[in-house]
Amino acid sequence: MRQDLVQDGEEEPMTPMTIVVTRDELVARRNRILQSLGTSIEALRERAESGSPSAEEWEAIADLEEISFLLDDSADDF
Amino acid sequence: MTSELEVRSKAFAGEIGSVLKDSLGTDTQIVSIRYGDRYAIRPAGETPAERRIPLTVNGQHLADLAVALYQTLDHSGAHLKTTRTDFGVFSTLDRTPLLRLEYRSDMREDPVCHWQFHAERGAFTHLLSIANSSDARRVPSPHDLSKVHLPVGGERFRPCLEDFVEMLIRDCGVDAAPGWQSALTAGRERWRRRQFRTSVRDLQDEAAAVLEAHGWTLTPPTFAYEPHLQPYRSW
Repeated sequence: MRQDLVQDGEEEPMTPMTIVVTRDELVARRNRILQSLGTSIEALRERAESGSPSAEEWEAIADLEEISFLLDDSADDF
Repeated sequence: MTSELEVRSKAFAGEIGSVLKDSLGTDTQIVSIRYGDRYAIRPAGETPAERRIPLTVNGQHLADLAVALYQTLDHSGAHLKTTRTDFGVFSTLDRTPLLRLEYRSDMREDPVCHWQFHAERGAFTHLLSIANSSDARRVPSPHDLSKVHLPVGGERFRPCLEDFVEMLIRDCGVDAAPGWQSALTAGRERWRRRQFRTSVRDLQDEAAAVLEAHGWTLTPPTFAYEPHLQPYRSW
């Protein structure tokens, strides 16, 4: 993922960083995640609501939650 | 150009990193991912697995802590607000959750802030199974206790990260850094004072009445004020 790194101050381990992302990057990242799982966002949401997601799905959900929040394009979780 | 919001979000990210370092002893790089006026704050890492913080018991790596906080402008458009948080503990055995604490200020049906516990309890499942037979819409997953959302205080009075970490240290025996208690106490006070200030802003009539009852003399503002009641009505 290409990210425009904006870092103030020295590179100390605990110095927080701001990473500026673009819409295209977020959309591409979401597509890659769903492609790697071989599913759609609706199917994954349905599985999270009614079943027990696998470890890989839990990790995907965490990523998708972040992306949907930043894009502000989903009223529900991810 | 660095915006004021970006500076504030980055400072908040620094606080999260300090809480984790001073309580769990993990020197975690925290990042604030920015898109427009929206920020996602979490440990650095390309994948969610890489972003998890190892939790050890007597030096043995048994679980991982996932931390993510999401910020954007509040209803006034003037303040940066944490509108979502996801705190979770994942087992190293199968990399699935043991327990989660979720907060969504815009939650529609579930409690705005709730615990979900990924566990089994026969007697509880028995109750839910009978409830499912009666009304499957309300209780759709009787065999999965993690589908029960335990409400905890709503938007203003929810637990903070410091509470979550202290539970891990005190009740789960997770290894802690020297001085963890004072670090968590200080962080918790900072967080609750912020919540308190927000509550005063929400309910200014209530705040003024309490202060006047304690001898303060107050002059109301000249501009109109409407209480912000939603955080006190949602479950």
